[in-house]
Amino acid sequence: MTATATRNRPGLRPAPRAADILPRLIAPLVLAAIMLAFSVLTPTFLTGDNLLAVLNQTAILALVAAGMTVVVRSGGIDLSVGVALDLAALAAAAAIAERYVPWVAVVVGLAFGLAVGLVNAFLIVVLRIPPFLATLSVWFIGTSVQQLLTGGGAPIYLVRSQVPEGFALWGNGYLLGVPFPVVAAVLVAGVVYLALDGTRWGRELTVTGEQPGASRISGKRVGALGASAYVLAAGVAALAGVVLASRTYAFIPASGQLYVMDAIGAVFIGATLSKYGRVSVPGTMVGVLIFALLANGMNLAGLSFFWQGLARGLALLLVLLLGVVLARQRTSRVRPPATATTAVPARKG
Amino acid sequence: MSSASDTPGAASAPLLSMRGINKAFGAAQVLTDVHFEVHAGEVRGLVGENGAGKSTLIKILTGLYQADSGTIEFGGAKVSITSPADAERLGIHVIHQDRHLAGRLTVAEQLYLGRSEGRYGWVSRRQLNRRAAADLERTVGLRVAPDLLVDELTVAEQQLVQIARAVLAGPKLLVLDEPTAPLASAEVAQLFATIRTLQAAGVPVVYISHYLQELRQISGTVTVLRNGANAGEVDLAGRDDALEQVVELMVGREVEEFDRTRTAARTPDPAGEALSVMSLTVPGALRDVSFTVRPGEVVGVTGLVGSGVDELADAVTGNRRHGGRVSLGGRPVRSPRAFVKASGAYVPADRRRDGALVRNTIQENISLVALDKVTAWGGLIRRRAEKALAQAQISRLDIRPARPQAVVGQLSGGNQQKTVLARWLAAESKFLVLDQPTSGVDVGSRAQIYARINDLVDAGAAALLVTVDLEELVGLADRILVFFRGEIVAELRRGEATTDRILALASGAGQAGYADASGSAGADTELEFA
Repeated sequence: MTATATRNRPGLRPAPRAADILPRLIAPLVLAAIMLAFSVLTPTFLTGDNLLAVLNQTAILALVAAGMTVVVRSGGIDLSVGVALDLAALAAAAAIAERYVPWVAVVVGLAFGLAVGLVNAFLIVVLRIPPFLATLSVWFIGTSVQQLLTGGGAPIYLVRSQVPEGFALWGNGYLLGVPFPVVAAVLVAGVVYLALDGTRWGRELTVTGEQPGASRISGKRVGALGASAYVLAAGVAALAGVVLASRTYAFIPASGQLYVMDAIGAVFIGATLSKYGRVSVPGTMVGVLIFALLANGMNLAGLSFFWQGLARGLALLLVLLLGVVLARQRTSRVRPPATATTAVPARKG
Repeated sequence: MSSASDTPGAASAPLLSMRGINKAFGAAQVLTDVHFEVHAGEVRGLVGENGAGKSTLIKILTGLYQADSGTIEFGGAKVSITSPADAERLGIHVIHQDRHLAGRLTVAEQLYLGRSEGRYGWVSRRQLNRRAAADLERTVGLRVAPDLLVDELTVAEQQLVQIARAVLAGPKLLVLDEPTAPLASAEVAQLFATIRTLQAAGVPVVYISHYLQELRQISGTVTVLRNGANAGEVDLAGRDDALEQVVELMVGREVEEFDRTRTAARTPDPAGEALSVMSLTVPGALRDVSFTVRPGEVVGVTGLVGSGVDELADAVTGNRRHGGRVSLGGRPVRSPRAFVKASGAYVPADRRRDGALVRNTIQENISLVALDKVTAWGGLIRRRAEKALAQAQISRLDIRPARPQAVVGQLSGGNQQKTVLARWLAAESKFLVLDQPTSGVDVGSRAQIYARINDLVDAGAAALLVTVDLEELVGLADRILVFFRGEIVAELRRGEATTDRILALASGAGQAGYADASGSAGADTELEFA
């Protein structure tokens, strides 16, 4: 760059430099590289059937991660979404086992999940416990509750032939040839995206997460906004729980916990798509797909299940490191406030 | 070694010499072939409008940014500074305008942070605290409990702690970027005394300030930057019209008068009552404070650190818990939301934390309070309406760049502040609480902000102005309330108020028994105000 370049003319947008954009393209590039590598390595990878199957398996993670995106955007974190998922699956499966009609089972499942969100909201917004610790506690408690309710953690298995179709559809049905879980994930992700980035609620939630003091001074309902994020995340996780119970015709204790860390990883991979580290639904979905394709490709390539954690960890590190290293080279003129991932900062006084 | 106000002889080699410094951010060239020299024992002023490149130059000196080209010599040798740690190793200490204090440390920990003498485990905490209290009092005349968390201090106190920390480190060069912005007059006097002590010991100080009158008191030669290049140097002791000359170099044209906007006296509606404050009490800060602000007037409030004015704006706007009653237009204010609903506007002192949304666009900043106006059914934000709302305010306040999509964190301080004000103008707020509204804001933006405030008040709005800038206070306020130790000690009308008189009252003059107890607070320090 030469010194004779343009002056800082008001009203003119400076042309973006490659160095400014590259750090934000790392995650999509990694996704593309994974697709490329596996489609060369395994011939069945890039077939429509396989990709649809991958999406079907990923739908639950996608749902959980979409909810997590909302919580992280609000300046918090939710380690207890697995509990919301599990309790919803437990309640729905138990209701079906007790021969309630399908819609009752679904509503009861969602209600159990939402209850977890309300507890989180109460602990974090009313009692002002930092989100990390509050949701960690709820996770501990919720795990124990599941074991107590199932008589020591015994799975509930439903007899397939006796499960009404109205319930089985949630995890196994198709809409225009697309598995229902995929339809649900796409719909929910779309709505959450629109809500976060197109509505007043999303705008106020984002401002509250990034600069709570400014939000409060502007007259926003800071507490209600934060609470809405936890309730929404739990509700979406509960939906995922219903889908999971339906798909597997069972409730298996603590299966929701598998998704929590993947969801957090996907959300923060997605954050690298933003100049300011702001999490978003599209970014999160890139992260979700990276994890999903990695797992599927390794399966097809015949690698043991045990390698998958390693691969996921390395993918996460790769994206974050490259993003950070490249971003460091261009000097940021904006010093954003510290990203609040663990605490809802409370104004003193 | 030169004496206080002398310009150092051209013969002596400079301690610091920056030459041919270039720096660009993206396509924007911020510094072009800048040279800057500092000699031992001088106080070198560095001035320029916002965006002129002062802060960038200093950030290059401290290794926060790297220059694209150019050389830095320090103590006669060429040096490469790639991090703040490099700079500190050389003995270059900087107090940045945007303070970076670690909020969870105590004052004492902050004071000795990262210094070998202050290793915990070797020094008892009680000893450490005792030493910190003594060091703070000695270096900057600040008296606070050393075991308070830095978060619990006011902005001014944090600033003084940071200066004390730099002084205690035994600097070879001290750089102060807009150090007096949050400080009240007596603290400024104390700061100047500190600077003169350093100067007497041969330690040069680079002093960056928008307050040109201060430079005249403390500095010998001033380097002026304009649009990222050297505009010239002025010896302040040399000519009577030296300050006019500096302003001329800063703005690049002749300025008719260097004066604060001053409008004719207003006649507020004597029966009207916009804000009513009854027996307001904030423990440790304010005691039983009562006053009213009527529609069509600006009430100014000032006081030194510890006078309670720092807490006043937060309390009145519902952002700080308090005893007593606050009402706005007859409606009680118990929360920030109630304040805003009652058509209140609050421009807070900490602009980058609580004012501007630094990661959002100008458009998103301006619409924040007025989202009602641009929200369609289902809560969807109508972008086009939002943009139009923003554009109206951008031209009204002359925000630059005039691009609704520009990210606010990248604007100059003055334009950020205009954006914050624009947010409330867009919401058509009728009552303004302004806390240090022009701190770190350049001369041009300042005049524009004053003009808009005057427009609003002339149109029937009311304003509570909390400021340590006495000229601003005298220029803008119709009535002035002076606070001392949590209470109102004087009310002055426009015309009776002079900066000298306000300063005397704020320092406790006229308070029985205070003179004996004042210690080093600087009540008796002579201060010059234009």
